[in-house]
Amino acid sequence: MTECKICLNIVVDQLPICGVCKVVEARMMGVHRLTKDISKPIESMFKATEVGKKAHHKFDAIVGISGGVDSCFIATLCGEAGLNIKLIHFDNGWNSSLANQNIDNIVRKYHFPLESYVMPWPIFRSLQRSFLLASVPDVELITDHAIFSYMAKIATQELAPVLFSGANFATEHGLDERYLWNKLDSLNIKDINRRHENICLDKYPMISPLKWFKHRFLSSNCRIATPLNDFWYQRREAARIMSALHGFKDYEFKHEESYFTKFYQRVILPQKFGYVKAKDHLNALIRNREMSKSHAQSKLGAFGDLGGVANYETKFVCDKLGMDEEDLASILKSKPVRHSQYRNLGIVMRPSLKLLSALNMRSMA
Amino acid sequence: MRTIPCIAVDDAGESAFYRIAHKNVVYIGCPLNVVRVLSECNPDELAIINLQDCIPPAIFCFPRHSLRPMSFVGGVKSTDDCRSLFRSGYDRVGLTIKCEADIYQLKQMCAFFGGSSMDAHIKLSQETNNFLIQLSSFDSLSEVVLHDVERSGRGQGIRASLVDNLKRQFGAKLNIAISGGYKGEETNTTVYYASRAVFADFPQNICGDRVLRNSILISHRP
Repeated sequence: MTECKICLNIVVDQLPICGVCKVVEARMMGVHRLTKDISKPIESMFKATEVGKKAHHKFDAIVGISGGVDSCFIATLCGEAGLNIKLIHFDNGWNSSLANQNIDNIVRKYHFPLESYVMPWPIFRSLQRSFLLASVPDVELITDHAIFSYMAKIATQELAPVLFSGANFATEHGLDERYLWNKLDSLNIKDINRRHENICLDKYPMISPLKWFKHRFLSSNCRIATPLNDFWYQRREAARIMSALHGFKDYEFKHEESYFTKFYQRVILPQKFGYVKAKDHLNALIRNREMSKSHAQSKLGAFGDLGGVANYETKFVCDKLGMDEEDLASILKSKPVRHSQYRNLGIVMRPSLKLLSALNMRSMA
Repeated sequence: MRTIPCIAVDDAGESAFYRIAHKNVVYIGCPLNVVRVLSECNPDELAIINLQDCIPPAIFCFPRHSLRPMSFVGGVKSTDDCRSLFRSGYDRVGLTIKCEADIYQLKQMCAFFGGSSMDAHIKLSQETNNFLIQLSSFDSLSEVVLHDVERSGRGQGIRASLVDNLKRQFGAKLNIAISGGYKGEETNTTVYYASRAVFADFPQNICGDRVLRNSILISHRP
């Protein structure tokens, strides 16, 4: 077993590069041929706002913002371009104070209106408990599905011709699909809930895959666009630009704008599933030529060195979810279960996703 | 002016709320997350206002996740309630004063736990002066907090001039602060500030505060 020549993955056979590097090679070359100049996405955003613009549209665009680097960068580009946008935010009850500060800085700098959907906490908590009890790997499915649903709901309000999302290929590709599940699989969420806490999901926002595809690829009323795929997007450069413009503070690792995601990536995934997601995030940065292998290696070492963080975050998560630390420990020790062992929409979704991947139309995978 | 962010808690301690202009209730999600977010912004302290008639078990874990001192008011009925709140880590406990009997109970609690750990919360009424006269006879009392908003959301609002008059009258013996009903006028007293205030309603000097900016941000919702 040797290390891949490009990234931190291990290669089992005698090949010089790993399977992921091989699969994404062509598309990454396409990304690297694009310009790094941020005037390019601004230009494409302007074009996107002009297509389908109608008199009743109050805004040039809607931007989904989580407080992370990617979505904040989209909002910053809109602000620098002078676009009249509305920010939408989904609050699942786990926002970190740093994420709030970063969103707040953008709101104050560019005077954007912000609308935040606050998820009913008892419902969300129960769903999270059900997913943990189910021992399935993708606990973030419930947040991501609700975000998709909320974005589609906003799109139907026709406030703007386009909704910008921070999803991008350059820094989000190459995640291990064994630990992910399709974010549009509402049936999987319903079945996991039914077989564990079985709460009423009337107030949980859900969307069917067909409706999402319609908004993503077909709708002329309010399309969903991913402008970070229109140029050579580099995450660290984006954080540097935002830091200079409005004092953006970067997170230690990707997706750590949420207290739960931080715990999920640092404790649940490595301890229960043996999966270090940060490694895939760092590999993506290496392939995107914004981090050296040695730097990524040292960052990965820091990811594993939790100190007192794990202990404190464990207590916080237990108190939030209404669990004992022993309950959580037994969940972490229990045998992992695949999402496919619950009812799911895999038969419908898999062929369409394969087709989209073949056409390079998936924004992240 | 000293501002203390406060979090109104309901639904067995599982939901936090804010009232826009003291009328419309806005749901703001998980109170424990609000406690952590606000405490990480380094306010002087954090206040929990319990809207229920009893103390919900969920609130006992709040101080564990706060980096700042915490106070609690609402639903406290006995010395045992007070003791369990102190044991869980709250630094001050407030008793709502509605009648003479409450003042007697507060006196007992002050004797037991020390006046510096106890607050008195009074709704503005014709009896306020009378209550303040009685409270000023206490050896030590951490704070007297004046409210002009009931659970129903009604109230005329607190005028800073009235508070300043009361401070002149009782300021030597009582530490007077204001909470529900504050209209944003300049005052030199402590203000307990609903944690998710709509900032357009309030003066810039308060909104400029980092703590409130954070709390304001998460207040926006459809």
